[in-house]
Amino acid sequence: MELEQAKELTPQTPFQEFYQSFALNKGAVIGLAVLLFFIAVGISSPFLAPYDPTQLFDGAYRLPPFFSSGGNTKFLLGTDDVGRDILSRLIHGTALSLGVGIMIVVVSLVLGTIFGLLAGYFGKSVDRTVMRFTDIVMALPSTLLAIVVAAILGPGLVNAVWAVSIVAIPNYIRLVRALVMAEKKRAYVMAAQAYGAGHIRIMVSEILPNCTAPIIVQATLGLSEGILNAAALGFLGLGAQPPTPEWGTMLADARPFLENSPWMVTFPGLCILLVVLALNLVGDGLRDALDPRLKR
Amino acid sequence: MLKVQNIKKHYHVRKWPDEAKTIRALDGVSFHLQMGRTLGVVGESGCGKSTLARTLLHLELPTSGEVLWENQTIANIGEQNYRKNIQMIFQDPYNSLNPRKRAIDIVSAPLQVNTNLSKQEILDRALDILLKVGIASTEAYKYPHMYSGGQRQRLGIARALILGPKAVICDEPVSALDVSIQAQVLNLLLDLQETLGLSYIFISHDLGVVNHVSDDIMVMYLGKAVEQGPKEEIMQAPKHPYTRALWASSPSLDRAKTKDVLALGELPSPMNPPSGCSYHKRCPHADLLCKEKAPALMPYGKTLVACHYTEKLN
Repeated sequence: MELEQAKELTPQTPFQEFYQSFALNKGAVIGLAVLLFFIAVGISSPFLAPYDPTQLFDGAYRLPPFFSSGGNTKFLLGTDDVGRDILSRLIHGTALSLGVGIMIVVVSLVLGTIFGLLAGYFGKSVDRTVMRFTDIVMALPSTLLAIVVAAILGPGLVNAVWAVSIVAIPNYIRLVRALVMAEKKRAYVMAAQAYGAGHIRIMVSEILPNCTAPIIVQATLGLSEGILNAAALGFLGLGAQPPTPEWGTMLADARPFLENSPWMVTFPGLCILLVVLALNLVGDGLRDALDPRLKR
Repeated sequence: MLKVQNIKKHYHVRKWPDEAKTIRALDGVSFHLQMGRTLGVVGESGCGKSTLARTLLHLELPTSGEVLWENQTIANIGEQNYRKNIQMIFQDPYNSLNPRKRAIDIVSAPLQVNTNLSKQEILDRALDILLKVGIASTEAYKYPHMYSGGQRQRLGIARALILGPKAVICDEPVSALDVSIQAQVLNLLLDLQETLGLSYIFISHDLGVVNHVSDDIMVMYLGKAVEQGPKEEIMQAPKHPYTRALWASSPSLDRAKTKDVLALGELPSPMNPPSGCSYHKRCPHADLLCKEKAPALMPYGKTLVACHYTEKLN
């Protein structure tokens, strides 16, 4: 009873405060709406898509979309060079591309946070070792490195995820390390040491919760970058292999027909653009809402 | 109860291209804290007060010397047992509470780490100790930024006391608070001392506050105690020139203003302390002997004073 009462008396929680601040940012809300639309499409792709993404339609090669001359309402966004429905492929590719992006963020975020936390908390030789590793990775052009890693691991969607994740890890390490170093000096850490809390407890339950805001922002922006990089690998033939309907791979397949059948590159490109733009808007909105210094 | 014997803490600093240097943050400090008593530690910033606190909490190991708890070394009684006996209250209540945790979680964390109590027992104890420091259980589920400065310091006190320590280090516990709140928090500390039988090591630069709470006083200068003894003696008749300078620099209605005892110049860097008596460059009474030989802490009356000319000056 007493407990419930106490909770009622609690004023704005940090989440409510964040929500209000986020809702004021129109761009971020639009971005979130677009993102939610794509996520919904991705989840319901088996029911939404008119055809199977790998189904070949005889005689319907490179049909333009329905609104241009020669188009057909049977294939709303036209067909590709072997007669597959582009709309169905795009809808099925949504889950794949978003999933790849999320996988990349999860892998790089988890590894980057762990290493950044260790480097920032322990300092000295641990810090030096981790930071030299990140320096080496950051000294190489990111796309080139992703290509090298993907080439070593061999083409394929899962290997592309690893390749892009490894390239993205240093961003998280540097960010988390800097946050932890600043947070470590504060007196509540010393208080935790004084009552005998262990290293892991101090790192995970004291320091890390105070570093979440910038990490969330970085993860959102990293998601768009991950989708782009995965698409780039797909375009180069090192990512998802045909006939997988991944957006980057679709772009790559359409490249020879750029002049004659521009719709084949337009629609996958547009999807990538929209998702990445929406993610960047959401990321900016998150940063504004979570950073107290930027609050009005 | 808590005995500190000649502890020294030296840091080695190496800054290229300079040679490695030793900072003597603590250079031979001894005292004996008895049950239920308060030791006031006074000194300028940079005199080693914070290092003393960290060393006593066993967060730093002393370079030499011994910290004894009831005549046993920390290694003997175990670090965890030692920690249950000595806790700390921090200066800045904005910095010392984790902003992402609710008050109840902050206060119960020491129990989660150090005991095997059930969740309900921990909750009960935390609410109990919060009530003791004057925070109602209906107020216990807020985040730190929702409390006022005085309430936050109360949370800090509750966190320090929940393990049932016998000694508490108070590192300037009221200097970050409004004057009107300072008295409340000080009186709370004194009440708790009475009901729980606590001993305090009270670090402060506010002589009025130290005078109010202490039984004994230790005056520190560049990592050394220059004068220590019972409060009445030191407050009424300071012996060491530095103590006099400190006393003279704090405003008072009772004492006449005296300019001639004030310290000259700035506090020297602990990286490069002066030869002989570390205070000789600022002391109005210093001469050649002070420049060459460091004075030992010698008994004079009821107090201990580190000065070559104690007798001449008094």
